[in-house]
Amino acid sequence: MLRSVSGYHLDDNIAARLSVLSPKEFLILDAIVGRIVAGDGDGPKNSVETALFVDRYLGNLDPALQKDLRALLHLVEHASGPWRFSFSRFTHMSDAHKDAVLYDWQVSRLVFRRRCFQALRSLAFLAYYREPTTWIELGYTGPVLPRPPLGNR
Amino acid sequence: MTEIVSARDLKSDLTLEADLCVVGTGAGGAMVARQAAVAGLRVVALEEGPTLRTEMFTQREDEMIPLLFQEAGARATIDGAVTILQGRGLGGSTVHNTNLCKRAPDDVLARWPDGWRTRDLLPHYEAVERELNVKPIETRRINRNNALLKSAVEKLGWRGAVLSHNREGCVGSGFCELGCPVDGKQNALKVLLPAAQRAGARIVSDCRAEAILLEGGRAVGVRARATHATVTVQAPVCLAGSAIGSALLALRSHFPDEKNQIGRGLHLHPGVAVAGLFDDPVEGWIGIPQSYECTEHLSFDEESDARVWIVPGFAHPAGAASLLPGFGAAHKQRMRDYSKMAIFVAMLHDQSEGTVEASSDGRPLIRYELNSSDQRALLHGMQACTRLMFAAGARRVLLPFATPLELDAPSENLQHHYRPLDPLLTAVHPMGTMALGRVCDGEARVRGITHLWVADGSLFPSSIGGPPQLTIYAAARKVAAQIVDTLGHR
Repeated sequence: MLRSVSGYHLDDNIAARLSVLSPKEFLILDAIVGRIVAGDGDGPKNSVETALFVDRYLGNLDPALQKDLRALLHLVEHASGPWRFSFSRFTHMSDAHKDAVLYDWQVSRLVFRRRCFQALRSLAFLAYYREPTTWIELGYTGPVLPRPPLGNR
Repeated sequence: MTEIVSARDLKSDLTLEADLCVVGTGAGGAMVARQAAVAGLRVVALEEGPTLRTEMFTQREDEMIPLLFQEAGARATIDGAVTILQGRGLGGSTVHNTNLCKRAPDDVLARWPDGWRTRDLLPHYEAVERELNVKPIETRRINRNNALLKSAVEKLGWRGAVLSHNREGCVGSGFCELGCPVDGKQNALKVLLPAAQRAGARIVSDCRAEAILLEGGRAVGVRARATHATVTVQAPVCLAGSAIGSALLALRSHFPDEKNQIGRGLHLHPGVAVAGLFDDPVEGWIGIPQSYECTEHLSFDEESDARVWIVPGFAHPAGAASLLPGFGAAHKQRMRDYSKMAIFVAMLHDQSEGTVEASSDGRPLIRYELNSSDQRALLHGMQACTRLMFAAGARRVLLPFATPLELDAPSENLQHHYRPLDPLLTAVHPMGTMALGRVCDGEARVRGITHLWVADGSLFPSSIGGPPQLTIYAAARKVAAQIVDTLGHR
């Protein structure tokens, strides 16, 4: 459990690794990413690492983009409930309820919501499918050249 | 040979004097810089993005997308309906494109202003094709994703052809869109910029042009911003920062524009990806990504709703995951078929026109909405891709509507599922925001300002219905000749 009963508590070891997001924003991101890349079971075991990658990735982006993404996270957390006639925050919802909320974003008649969902989805997939461990299931053979030495990157 | 300077390393302001400052180093900018430098002009080329080297191309999506694409691949229209993929860094979009080289059709150029018709561009096309080693892909190198499109086209009796590319030394690794790690692309980065350097051009990367400096109706320089310094180049100017970047810079520079034409007339090639699932492996990520085209539904008749260019469009896992609709367990199930999946893209030869405006945070505000004719054309393209997939032997076809649609037969009318702005689109090839005849005169000079030229896709008065890089190279070569004539050989 990353969240305390009362609010947004993030494990100190994880909080210390954040580059861009606040602990609260990270918990929201983790909740979203966890459902986007969830499998048939309860969810991916590495969703925290996936969300941590997204945080690091944001660190390389233009500050204006970072700001947009952070605002979006707060929007999902606090403005998703009313669309489902609920006052619950996204991070407090059950997995089924989270999925229903994300589905609402996906099929929304408002292009803005669909686009926001697509942005979160793209980031989640980029983070998740960067891992060679995920390629085996796809049959993807991966890069054909060895990774160049760090000094050349 | 001059060295490339990264302005990121500058600790104090830098002022350079030159005969010509080129803003942007993609197909247009690199061509102008090389041609002008070879003619003896002292050239400075400015690039917003980083210096790119072959050994930086790691074939990893998470590393290459933020490096090679504007706004880390997130550039989009203001309503979010269209994502626009554009390159950044030395070489611009020629670094991540798939090397497609196709001349603009005669029917399109026939509607362009005098001086820009097929006969006018022909010598430039021929010179570029020779220099960049443009030739058709050998049949033996057509990968399975492309072979499926070819077989479907032949089975249906539709029009199609093998595409020509600018490659040499290609090993077919299939990572073109992430930069070529074996230097097989005969592009701006590999061919033209080094040639410009050999002729004495100075290239400064990591600095973003903020304003064109004007004095009494004449362009006299460029002011650019780096991390810790301002770079000022005192020289006549050629804009080549793309149809979005050049228009943005022109707007920020407050060019005289009484009729508010700068930034208008934006054309794109929005595309929709249709996936087909096959019984046997396709492994579309292996080999040359795009080597065959279907042109059966690509009419240049302005009244026609058949205005789509169909090509294969495979992506590596993260890109493919984003192309496929949905999320969670259902999406993961679809991804398990990744190796047996073919993807065809219907790319629209658009008639809609958008705009580019300047925002307060420095990013472009891009407005673009498909008109009803283009919406019909795109739907027509999705239907055509569906027919092609089944003709190629697909078991099921997946369409990327917000509510994913899976078909097991080609008969269904997609009209029932379509609503405006669904699916969300991905576009490439911005064109037309400083078009010939409207913003620029017949010699590609910005009207009302002397010593200021444009040499990128901004010049195009219309969509060209196919990959623009060859036409940008050719047009820029023509513009470079005008510049050299005006500024004189030294």
